[in-house]
Parts: sequence; C-alpha cells; structure tokens
Amino acid sequence: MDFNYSPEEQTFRDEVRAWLASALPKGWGKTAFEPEDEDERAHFRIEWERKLYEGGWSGISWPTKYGGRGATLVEQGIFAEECARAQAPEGINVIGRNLAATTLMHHGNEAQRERYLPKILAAEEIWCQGFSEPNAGSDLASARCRAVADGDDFVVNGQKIWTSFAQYSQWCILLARTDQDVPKHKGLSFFLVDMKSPGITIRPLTQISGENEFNETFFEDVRVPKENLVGELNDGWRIAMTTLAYERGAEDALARQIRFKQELDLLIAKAQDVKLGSKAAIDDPAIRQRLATSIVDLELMRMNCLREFSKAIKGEKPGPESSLMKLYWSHVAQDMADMAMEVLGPETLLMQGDPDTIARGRFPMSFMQSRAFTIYSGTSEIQRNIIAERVLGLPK
Amino acid sequence: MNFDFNEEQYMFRDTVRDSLKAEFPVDLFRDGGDPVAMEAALWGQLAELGLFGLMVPEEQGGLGLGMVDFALIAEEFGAALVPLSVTDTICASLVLAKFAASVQAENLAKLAAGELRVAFAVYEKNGGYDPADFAATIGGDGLLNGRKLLVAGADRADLLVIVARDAAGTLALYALEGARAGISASRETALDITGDYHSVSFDKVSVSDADRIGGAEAVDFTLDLLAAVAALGLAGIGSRMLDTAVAYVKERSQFGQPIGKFQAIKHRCADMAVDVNTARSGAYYAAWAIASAEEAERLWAVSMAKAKANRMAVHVVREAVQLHGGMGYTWEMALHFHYRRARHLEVLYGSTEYHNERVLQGTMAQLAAG
Repeated sequence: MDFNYSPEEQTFRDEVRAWLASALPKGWGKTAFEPEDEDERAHFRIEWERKLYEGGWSGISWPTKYGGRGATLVEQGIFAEECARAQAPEGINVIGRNLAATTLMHHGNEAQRERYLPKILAAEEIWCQGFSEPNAGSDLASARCRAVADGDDFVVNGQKIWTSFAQYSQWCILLARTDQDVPKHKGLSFFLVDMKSPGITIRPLTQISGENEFNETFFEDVRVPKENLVGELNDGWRIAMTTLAYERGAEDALARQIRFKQELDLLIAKAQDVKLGSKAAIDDPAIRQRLATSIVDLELMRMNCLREFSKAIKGEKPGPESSLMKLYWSHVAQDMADMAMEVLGPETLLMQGDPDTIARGRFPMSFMQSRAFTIYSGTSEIQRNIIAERVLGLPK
Repeated sequence: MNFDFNEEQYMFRDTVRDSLKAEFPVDLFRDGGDPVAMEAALWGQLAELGLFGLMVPEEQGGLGLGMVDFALIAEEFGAALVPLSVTDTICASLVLAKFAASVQAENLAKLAAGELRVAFAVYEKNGGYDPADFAATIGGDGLLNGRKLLVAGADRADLLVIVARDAAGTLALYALEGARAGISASRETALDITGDYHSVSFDKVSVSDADRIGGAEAVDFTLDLLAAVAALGLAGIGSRMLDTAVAYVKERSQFGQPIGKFQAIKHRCADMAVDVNTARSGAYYAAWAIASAEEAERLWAVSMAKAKANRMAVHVVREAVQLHGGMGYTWEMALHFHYRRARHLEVLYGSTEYHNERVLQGTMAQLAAG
C-alpha cells in the first residue's frame, strides 16, 4: 500500500497540468465559462473531447493498438484529478468511452474493436445507450424491443427511453429481444446501431431540471447488419451486465467524485463569503458539521474508487461489487446537493441569470439534477437487490 | 500509488483470524467468562504468533513492520473483541520506537516478547477530546497530579503512557511504570464488558526527564494512532456484524421462507455492506497515513476515518440487532458484546463531531493553500 506517486507518475501529472493550462481558454473558471445554452454546451464539450484526443489524453488506460496510451488506471486517476483542479469541461462521449468501448473490449470481435474503438477515443463518434424501455426499467430483462433476422440484417422495432445524448450520437448500444420463446433473460441480444439508419426517431424529454439531455428513441423497421451483433445471439443479457458493471464502477465514479468535490470546494468557499446576518455561514457550528460530513463522504468515495482501481490493476474484473460504489456515491452526492441548499441562506434559491445568485445558480441546479443519481444506472432498490443477492448471497 | 495490501499481509490476517476464531470466540463472553482471565490466556497465544513484536524494531527482537502491516490485524482484533489492553500494548510499541527508541530499548525488547503490558492513560473527566483541555500536569516540583479514565487493564500494566502538561505548560507524553509510587488504579463499571477499564489517579508522582517520550508532536501522533486503530477496530466490528446478520437472515424462516428473501431485509443488509466497505476504505487510508503521511494529511485522514467508522458502526450494529428480532435482544445471542464495544470505540477516541471539525479545518487549510 502506498499513496505516494512514483517519479514517473509525478512527471505524468506535471505534463497533464501543463497541457491543461495551455489548452483551456484564458481565464477559465474565473472569467471564461462553458456556454449557457445547452445545445451550444454539448458541442463545446464534443470539441473539448477532440482536443483531448489530439493532445493524446484520450484513452489513457486503453491498449495502444486501439489508440490508447497503454498506461494504468493510476494515470487515468491522475488525469481526472488534474482536470478537476483545472475545472476542465466534462466530456460528452461518456457512454462511448465507459460503456460501449469497455463492453467491446470484453465481448466484441477484433473487427468490431478496430472499427469502433479508435473513433470513440477521437470523439469522432458519440454513443448513446438503448437499454431502458417504458415498460422495462428496473425489470430490464423484460425489454420488448425486437430484432428479427432478415437476410444479412436484423430488423429492429420498438422503443427505448432515457437515451441520453441520442441527439448528438452516431451510434447506439442496443439491447433487443431476439427470441420470444425462452425465459426473458435468455432471449436478448446486444447490437451496435447506426443512429443515422432510416426508421429512427428521437423525441427529447424534458427533465425536472429543465434540461433536455435525455430522449425517447423509436425504432421502426430499422435494419442493422448482422456484423453489428456483439457476441453470440441471445447472449445479450450477460454482455449487458458487463456494460452495467462499468456504468456503476470505479472509473465512472472517480470522474464523478471529482465533479462533486469541485462543487463542495465551491460551497466551502461560498460559505466563507456569504453572511447569514452578522456572521459568515462557515462560522455556524451546525453548518460546519454538515460541510464536514459531506467532505468525509466524498473523500471516501474517492478512496472506494482507488481501492477498486488497485483490484482492477491486479486483474480482477468488475462485477456485482460495482453496485456498492454506485449505491454509495449516489446517496452521498444527493445528500451533499440537499445540504448545499440549506447552508447559504435565502439567495441560494436564485438561479443562473439572477443578479443576486450565488455561484451562477450551481447549487439549485445540482439540487434538481441530483434526484437522477439514485434512479439512473439502476435504481437504488435494484442496486440493493444486486448487492444482497449477488454479493451477500441472500436467497432470490 | 497502490491502495491494496500485499499477499503476506492478507495471509497474516487469515492466520490471526483463524486463531482468534478458535481460541477467542465470543461464546466465552456469553458463557460468563471473566474478561481479565480470558485476556491473560489470549496474551500468550498472541505472543506466540509474534503479534506484540510486529512493530518493534528488529534490533529489539521485533519484526520491524509498520502500521499498514498491523491494519488488517487491528480490524480482526475489532471483529473478535480482543481486549484493548492488547491493542494499547501493540500501539505503544510504535510510539516508543518512534519517539524514544534508545531510552525505551529494554522495554521494547520485553514488549516484543509479550512480557510487557502497556496502557494509554489519555482521557479525563470533563476533559473532552482535545488534549489542550486535559488537566493532568507536572508541577515545578516535578510531581505529576491528575486522574485518567477508561484506561484498559491499568491495574496490571507494566507501563502507563500518559498525556500530561509539563512544568513549562507544554503537552507531553510520559511513560511511567505502573508500580511507581502515587499511581493507583480503580476498576470502573463500564458499558463495554469485554475488557476491564480503570480510572487511574496520579497523586504527586515523581516524574523525571528520562520518563518523557516526546512533546506535543508525540501526543498528537499517539492520539491519531489510537483513533486510527479504533477506526480499524470499528470496521472489523461492522464486518463481523454484517456477516452474522446475513448468516442469520438466511437461516431464520418466517411466513414460510427465509427472511433474507424479503426485500425489506435484503435492502438493510445491502446498506450495511456499503457502509462497511466505505469505512474500510477510510480506515485503511488512515493506517497508511499513520505510517507515511505528513502531519497535516495524517490528522485529516485519521479524522475522516474515525468520523466515518463512528457513523458506520452505530448504523451497522444497530441493524444487526434489529435483524435478529427478539433474539437480538437476548443476552444469549451475544450481539450486545459487539454493540457495547462499538460504542466504546466510537465515543472514546473522538466523537464524530470532534473529528468532523478537524476534517473541515484540514480541508479549509488545503483549499487556502491551493
């Protein structure tokens, strides 16, 4: 066990830091910010990801043959930390990098890896995830979207929901039913679908935050070439479990932790500025306790991630234990967002654009967005079932 | 960067775990065993395993290992309710070796062989958690006066390591033989009945420079060490209580099925597992910080670990009792021994609020430094 960084790791950190300083716009995080318009912001983030790729910072822990750096998760972690320190923008191709690519590395064939992985890294192709359906949420295995073999293609019909970034995506990882006559888990297959295919309709859904990140996606006689099947026919459930383990796992969580920590650091700074009458918010002992609780919770989220990284470096594959991560972080992040609303006084209620707002309305926005944490990637109730049955061995 | 233990550390943990399972089961407490007699029997077995010499330098016959090597053992000690007189003695080896290795060489050699008992005399009535508020003081006449509470196994300790203010008003750490004139121990009636605790009076005890282990730095290190080991012990208690509860709900049948099949039960177990996992992350990081971090990071890491371990233990032990239903409330089921020890460790080595405040101050200092 050693939390110190090796000289090589330290050099890597210095390189990242220097590159970020040169690549980010002048005054970044102080006078220069991301575009306020959601659509402009999405394009800004895609551009940022392409810049990262050009700088050689995309796919740090990926194999070099797919365009990655071939480094370890430790470097990946250092990179994420430095991005946080620089308040660098988030990427938008999270589903491409963390879900589609990782799944292809485990279950795709070589032709698929060579075709898709480099373009994911380059942010040339953005991905979305077609798993949930209106009647297949927590009970994902009951998905009804169908794919029927027809000549060299499968023909897909059905509806997916909560497809984040579908409007910016070139590709979709799709879970579809290929056998109606077997138990529900055994009749699903995993496909790669070109979002430009005729027959796909995307309808935006407005979230409680007012944003339109996610969508309903309709598939009507969409033809998917047979080479876009991942793994074996009807083995889609098992493959989707790999996808979900990554979606709930440490790499994803570490990137989030860093965003949450930025937000908490900002809150601590504001608590020193904002007066609650005669004294600063930070001087209230009850507020100090609440801030500290979130600091502990969030730092330990990072520690949980680092422990998982060390296991992954030893060669352990992500499994149902990743639900421990997701269940933990989703609740502590929600607690933090709730707490942030309760420590800065009345002006916390003012959103971005209001002259009296605090931190450009970040805290009320996060408060709204945070409700999603315990729902997406499997609700907390589903995570608890997984932990109880597959980690603790309680009876089904 | 590597946040994992090595194979040897895991193997040593397994050896200690197996040994404690066989020789020190909680049934002994349940069946009315006297904790003092049980501890005496255990002491020899732990000495045979070489545990007392774990962190004693090789020159004094120890293994010369460090806090990270002790971390998983401390967790097992928590799980098995090993008396705190044992952990105090092992922790003392690290303190004595770090701050007074040459003066304490003879004691360290004895300690490594399992022939020296050490007890920490730290907390006081009305003293709270901050050593700045402790009253025990050595006057200009070189005489120590004060009274310490909850000192484990004090009546038979060969050495008492005490936090006291010196004649100049500086906080310092002293090691005094338990038999020195003016020292008297009185057995306390404590919540935790898995060990014996004493109030120790220091009445005009003559103290010299040779007894001094170190100044404020040694005091701070010692309190951090004890809190980190308490956090590890709490992680062990949490882990054991989770295992016990899970085993019970798999067996216990109601409404024609194991109660572990009900989601109301499953979800509580899952929340316990999340909490135990996270408390471990914090406690392991604190162990590393004791061994290798600068003071500011050490303090911060330890307080995070202890604050989280406190919250986790209260939650997990409470749930374990609840999941056992009426049986959980019986003396015979023996959960209450862990329930008691958990509270003892939680309250004694810094409350959640005390450690939270230290965490916030540490974080603000980091932010101010950029």
